[in-house]
Order: sequence, then structure tokens, then C-alpha cells
Amino acid sequence: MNVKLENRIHVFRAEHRMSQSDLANEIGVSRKTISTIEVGRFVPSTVIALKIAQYFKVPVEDIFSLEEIS
Amino acid sequence: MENKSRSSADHADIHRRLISITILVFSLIYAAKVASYIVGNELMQYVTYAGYGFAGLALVLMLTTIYWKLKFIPGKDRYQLLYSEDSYANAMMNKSFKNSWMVTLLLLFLVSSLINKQSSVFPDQFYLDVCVFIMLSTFSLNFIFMFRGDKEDLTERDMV
Repeated sequence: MNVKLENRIHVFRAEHRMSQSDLANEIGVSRKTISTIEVGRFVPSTVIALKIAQYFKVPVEDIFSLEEIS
Repeated sequence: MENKSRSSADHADIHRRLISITILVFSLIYAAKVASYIVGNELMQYVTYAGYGFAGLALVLMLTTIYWKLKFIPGKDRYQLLYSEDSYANAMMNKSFKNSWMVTLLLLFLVSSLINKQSSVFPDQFYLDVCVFIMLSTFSLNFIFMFRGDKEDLTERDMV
């Protein structure tokens, strides 16, 4: 089964009116790290994924999901 | 250049970029050494001056890199920011080291068959300098390519 990690970080950022830099500062990573996670170029560690979910006060599954690819 | 304050994590990314550029310049020093075995006497002087120039530039970059680390990355966060896999820059640096290692290993297999051969056109040092040049340039160019700015770096995408 081939899967791809999808995320809705930009949706949550929009709801909270945050820039990538703002979120990066809250999580403790660089803006480049957040931007590459958003576009799918970088798979975040479990710690970063949980920190993002914790910040937005939602389960991690609300932000990250696995999509099957053919 | 944008005039906004950067976090320690952003400065750590800049530090990684400085390391890759410094290593690229070091690779150019070895490129000059390799070229010195190949070029004729009329170009030797220019190659030598180029080597000295790259060496000076490498020294400046090395000092800048050390300064950046000490000035902008707090001591208490330094280990986490510079060595954690949570950072895109660190992950790409590790990937670049891995790619460079693989290329260098293959090259060393090839070089080991050429060194100490009577029929070899060049001295043994030439082959070693080629290996070091390939090793350093593979790492630095790999990292610079992987860390390139893309459309996600545009401010209109960054802002909500």
C-alpha cells in the first residue's frame, strides 16, 4: 500500500490568522521547516506533529492524515 | 532583504547554509589543486591565484559561520537546534552527507585501482585531491539544491 502524508496546517493557520513564521516560533522550529511540512516536502517528526496538534488544541489526526496513492 | 526578527531556529538554518557554502568554497580549493595538474604553464599562475583567493574566502566564511553560531544561537538551545532531526535543514544536511559518502566510496573503489600504478599519468596525490573535491562538492551542492527557495517561501503564501 503506497501512502502519502497529507496535512491541513494551512487551514488551521488561516483559522487562527497566523503566518508560517508565527507558527514556527510557537513550535520552536524554523519557518522553512513549517513551509516544507505544509507543501509535503518534509515529513515532520512525531514530536513536531504532536506539538502542532497541541498548539491548535486538536487531535493530531485532524491535522495529519494518510492518503493512498496509486 | 526582509527586515524582520528571526528566531533561533531560523538562525540555525542560516548557520547550516553558511556551512554548506563554506564547504563548497573548500571544494573549489581542491578543484584548483586538481586543475594545477592539468593546465599548462601559461594558466598555472591564474590557477594558483584562484586557489589563494578561495582559501581566503573559505577562511572568512568559516569565521562567519562560527560567529553566527555563537552570536545568534543561544547555548541552551544549541544542541537541540543544530542536531535534532526536527529541523528540515538538519534532515537535509544528513541526507547530503549520506549522498556524499556514497559517491566518495564509489570513487575510492575506482581510485584504489589507479593509485600506485606505473602506467598512471598523474601522481597519487591527484587522485586523492579529486576524491576530496568530489566529496565536498557533492555534499554542498546537494544541500544547496535541497534547501533552495521555492514558491512556499513567497510571503503571500506565508501570510494568511
